[in-house]
Amino acid sequence: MSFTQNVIPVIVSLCQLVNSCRFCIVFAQRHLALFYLLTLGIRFTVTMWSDSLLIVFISICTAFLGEGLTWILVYRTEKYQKLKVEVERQSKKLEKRKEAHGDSLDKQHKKKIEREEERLKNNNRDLSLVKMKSMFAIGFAFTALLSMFNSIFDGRVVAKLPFYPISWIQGLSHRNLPGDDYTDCSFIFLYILCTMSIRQNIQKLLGFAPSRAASKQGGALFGTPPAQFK
Amino acid sequence: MSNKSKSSDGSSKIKVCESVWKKALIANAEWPDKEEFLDVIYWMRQAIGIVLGLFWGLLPLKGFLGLLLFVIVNAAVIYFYVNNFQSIDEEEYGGMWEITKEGFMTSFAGFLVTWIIVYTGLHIADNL
Repeated sequence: MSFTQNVIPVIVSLCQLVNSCRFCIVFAQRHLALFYLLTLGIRFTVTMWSDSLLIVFISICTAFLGEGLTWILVYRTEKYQKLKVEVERQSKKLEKRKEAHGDSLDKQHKKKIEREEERLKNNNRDLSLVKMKSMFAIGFAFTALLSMFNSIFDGRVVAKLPFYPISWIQGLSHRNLPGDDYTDCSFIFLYILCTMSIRQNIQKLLGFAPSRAASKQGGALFGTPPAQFK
Repeated sequence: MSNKSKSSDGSSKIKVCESVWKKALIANAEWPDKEEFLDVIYWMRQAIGIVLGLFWGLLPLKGFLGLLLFVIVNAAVIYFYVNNFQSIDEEEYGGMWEITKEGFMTSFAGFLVTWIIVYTGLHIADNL
């Protein structure tokens, strides 16, 4: 007697609960479908813009991630810091010396400058070796990340270009996109542009960008030597 | 102790930054450190790139004209700033070309990103 007295109300309340749940589900299904239909129009217009904003956000995140990883693996190491200071000091010194004796044909000065250039070259090589290993690791990680984003945005027009790109850029700006409208912009083009501007600015803001004197000397060392020192 | 020195380092850095920007707004200021002046040019370029990108997107300017106008305005602003406002001897910095080159690609990329995004958001969504 007591068993039926206890169990029946429980069963009844369970049934009521199931019923109300079903009602809720049906209600949600109908209204969500309506909501979906209503917002479908808005969605089409917003998707492209939200995609392009998402790409900017992604490139900001990857720039910070890249710089953070490089800081952990390279920038904070004592060897790198020592070499960087050394290279900067030497390249400034060399620049000053070149300015002072640039036009003179004095053999002694020439030899001195050549010797310093050699030393700077060696230090630069060491510096790039320190960077190399971690850059490889980061490069691999980022290639994987990029291919993942590439597959997510595959075939999607993420933005409209306000100009008609020249033929050798079309390969990038219209990569994996259907149709012949070359003002359609692919993920990779926008991502490269974002990375170009954001990453370099972040590097400069955080003080990780190589100094002008060092990069100038580096360029001179790896490129063609200035005419006066030939 | 180290914390103290760090915080004093940070505050001195901020002070240096402030003084550099104050100096940047004063006509014919002295620039003993070349790097400082080139940094001012660099950041000015970035700001010009983003502002022009916003304007071109809002108008909207389209096509090759937009790109050409950006290059002209960007170079002209920097040229007038260096020659007329600051009266810098450009030979000290390796000629006008070196100053014109400073941070150009980064600012161009920033300009393109803002132009494309503003243009897409404001003028393409309406047509769909």
